[in-house]
Amino acid sequence: MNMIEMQDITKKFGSFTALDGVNLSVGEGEIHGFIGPNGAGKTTTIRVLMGILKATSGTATIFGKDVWKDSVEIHKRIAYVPGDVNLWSNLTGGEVIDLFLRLRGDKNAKYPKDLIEQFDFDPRKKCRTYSKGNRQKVALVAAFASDADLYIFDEPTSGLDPLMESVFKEHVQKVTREGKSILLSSHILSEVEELCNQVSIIRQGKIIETGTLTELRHLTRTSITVTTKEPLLGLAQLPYVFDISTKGDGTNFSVDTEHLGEAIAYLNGKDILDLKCLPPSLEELFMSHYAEGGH
Amino acid sequence: MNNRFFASIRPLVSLILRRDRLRILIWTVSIGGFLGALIPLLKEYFTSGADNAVSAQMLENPAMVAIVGPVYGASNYHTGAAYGNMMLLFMAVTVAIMDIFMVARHTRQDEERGRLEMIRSLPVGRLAGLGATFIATLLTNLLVFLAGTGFMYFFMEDGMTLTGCLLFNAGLLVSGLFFAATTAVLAQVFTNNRSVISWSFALLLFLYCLRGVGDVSNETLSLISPLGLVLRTKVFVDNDWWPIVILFLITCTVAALAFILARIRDLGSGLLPERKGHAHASALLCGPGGLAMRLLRTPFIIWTLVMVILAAMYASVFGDLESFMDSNEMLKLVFGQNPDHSPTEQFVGLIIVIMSMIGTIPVLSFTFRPAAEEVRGRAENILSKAISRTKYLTTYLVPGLLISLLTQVLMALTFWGIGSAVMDTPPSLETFLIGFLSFLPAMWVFQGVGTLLVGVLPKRTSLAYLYLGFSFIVVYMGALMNLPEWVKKFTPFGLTPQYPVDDWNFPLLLALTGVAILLTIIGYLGYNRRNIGG
Repeated sequence: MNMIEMQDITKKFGSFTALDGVNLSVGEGEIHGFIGPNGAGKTTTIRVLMGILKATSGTATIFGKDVWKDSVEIHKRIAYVPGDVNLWSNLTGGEVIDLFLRLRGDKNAKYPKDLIEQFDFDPRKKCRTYSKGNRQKVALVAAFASDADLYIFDEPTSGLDPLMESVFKEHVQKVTREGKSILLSSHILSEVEELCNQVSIIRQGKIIETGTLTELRHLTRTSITVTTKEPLLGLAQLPYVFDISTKGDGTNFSVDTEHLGEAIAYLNGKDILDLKCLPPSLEELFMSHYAEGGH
Repeated sequence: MNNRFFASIRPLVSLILRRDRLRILIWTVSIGGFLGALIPLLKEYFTSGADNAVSAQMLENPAMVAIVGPVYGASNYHTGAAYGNMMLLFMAVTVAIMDIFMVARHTRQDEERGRLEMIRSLPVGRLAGLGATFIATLLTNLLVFLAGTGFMYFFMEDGMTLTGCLLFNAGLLVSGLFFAATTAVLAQVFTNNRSVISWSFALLLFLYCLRGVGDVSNETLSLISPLGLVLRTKVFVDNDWWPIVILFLITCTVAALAFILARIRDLGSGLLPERKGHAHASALLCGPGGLAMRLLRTPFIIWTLVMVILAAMYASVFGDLESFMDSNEMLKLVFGQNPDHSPTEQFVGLIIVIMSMIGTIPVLSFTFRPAAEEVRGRAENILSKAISRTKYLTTYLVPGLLISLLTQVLMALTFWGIGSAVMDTPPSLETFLIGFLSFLPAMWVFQGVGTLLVGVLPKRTSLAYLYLGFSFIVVYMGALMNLPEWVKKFTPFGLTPQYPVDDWNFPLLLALTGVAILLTIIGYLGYNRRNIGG
């Protein structure tokens, strides 16, 4: 059974369609990256999943239960970190973390000290004095200190420094090893690339691409830098080769990833001296989609 | 000015005036208008056949002196003397509140939000921000001075002179600036705006009480408090200017202190470091109920105190009521027509409704807390946990219900306790209890309306306050202006019988409670059905 199953979810605010038939599924043990530009509908999708917004149409379930009707049941097994963490100005960070843990049922819960230390966080300051990054740490510590089956993160690292980002990644990998599932919304592509095994791309309220990173890479081009003894005659005529340029002895070009084998076979006949082959980054994948959609 | 302390002060003054122009306009017009409009009202009260000596005598009651200040010129108690007596202290406090907010907003709040850092990164003097705040506050107070003097001069009545009007407003000006200066000092001491405002108000309250104690028992204490000092101008009676001069000198000293402190500290820091809080939550903070309790704790205590103090103030005049009523034609007109009940009983009945309506304000504000939490994006923190919306809403409705019960009972006890001490034939405790408790259903109807708004129209919660304001006008002014009876039927406070004057009507109270429950249920249903914004 899938952890998250969204089918044809549409969400309208008045005449504005924020989500337009979103389909999304996250399987057990999956780390699902959810990427898209600002205003694409990432947060709206997550807030529908959290039972905070009511979908206009479509069905959405978590653990097989309806996200709107059974939200309380579902939330017992979810840890959620919103993109914008708003806290009570006159409570301390430590008090809020404890409160968040206790709201999950254990009335005497206290956060473990080592987690605070790893995130380099001072729990004794009032929330009004925390920066955005520190407020995010409150929600992250509370999430990682709780024993959930599904973690939902909405741009969790947008206020963290690189050091804290790596602490976050360690913890994500730790819960993954325990077989937990994660939905991670982000526009930091390297993060998604590093952590996730499944990716969905959302744009203007629609999921435009979904699949494993390997699957998505098939849609893109690999860039090749090659130096050969013999001239590369006829390279420009190959239908799957693009963007040829020369620099010193070397030649740069990109090739449809699907036809990578044929390109290598062609180069083989030209006596290769040096070959560099770069896989497409998610960055390029992202850019190619937005460039297409933009026109 | 182009030096390292005050460079670019002029554009900063313009910036403050631009940011605050609407606020300044509203304060100026409302304070000025109020100062003027109250003159004919007071004249009506004190000269429409009333024996002014009796009025002055009532105001000389220690409780009244503690609240509004000492009576001057009792032998010839004209409108001017009464105006100075009843208005000067009250208005000085109002202007002080305006100045506290204004100075805190442009000093510590700007610094806390990081706006001052932006300004300071430009070629701006180190003390220019503070200097600009003082200049803008001074200009605002001068505007209020002009508006106040103008309005008062326009409405002038017997015993009032232009000199008196100028002195009255000069008193408001210097005492306002004194509190502006103390706020500026506190803004150097504390690192957050909340503390600056809380401590400024604590100081205002302390100086008010110091004056209260001084006015009743020890003149020296009154002279130490700027609020007491201002009253020593004996405006419209003796018109003394020396307190203004002294207070002005004190204000300059305090302002200089603010500049000295601002010079020696770093941007963003305070002279007092932020205290460390608790590393862990206490056992009480263990669920949504604990959180609501923690968030509402301070307002709960403050509102309870405010209601009891208000009740004590009213109760303290019960003793002088009879003689005062007899001497005042207008009040005779309002209360003198009922042969079965004494004017005092009728007055008590009216005060109970008014107090109940004031007591409805905290009930509404607690009920609206979930909507406020939602707007600030904090409700999401709770609702994304295993907490149902019904439970979340309930955690804020229960404190509202509790404060309605608690304040009504405490006010009844206060009326009875103080009333017994000052009246010859005080009503029984039971009378007060029934009087206050019979307004509970009306308060609950308002809580029901509040819940309904939170559930269905969370952005329009102010409608409930409008409805409360309407009820206030209908009930309070209705008594003075003889509004038709049917108008009263549009508000639960008008519908509820005023015991002991009216008979107790149990079925009606039960029906109101039923309406309250129905409204609350609709509110819950709406809240469970809608999107949570943020």
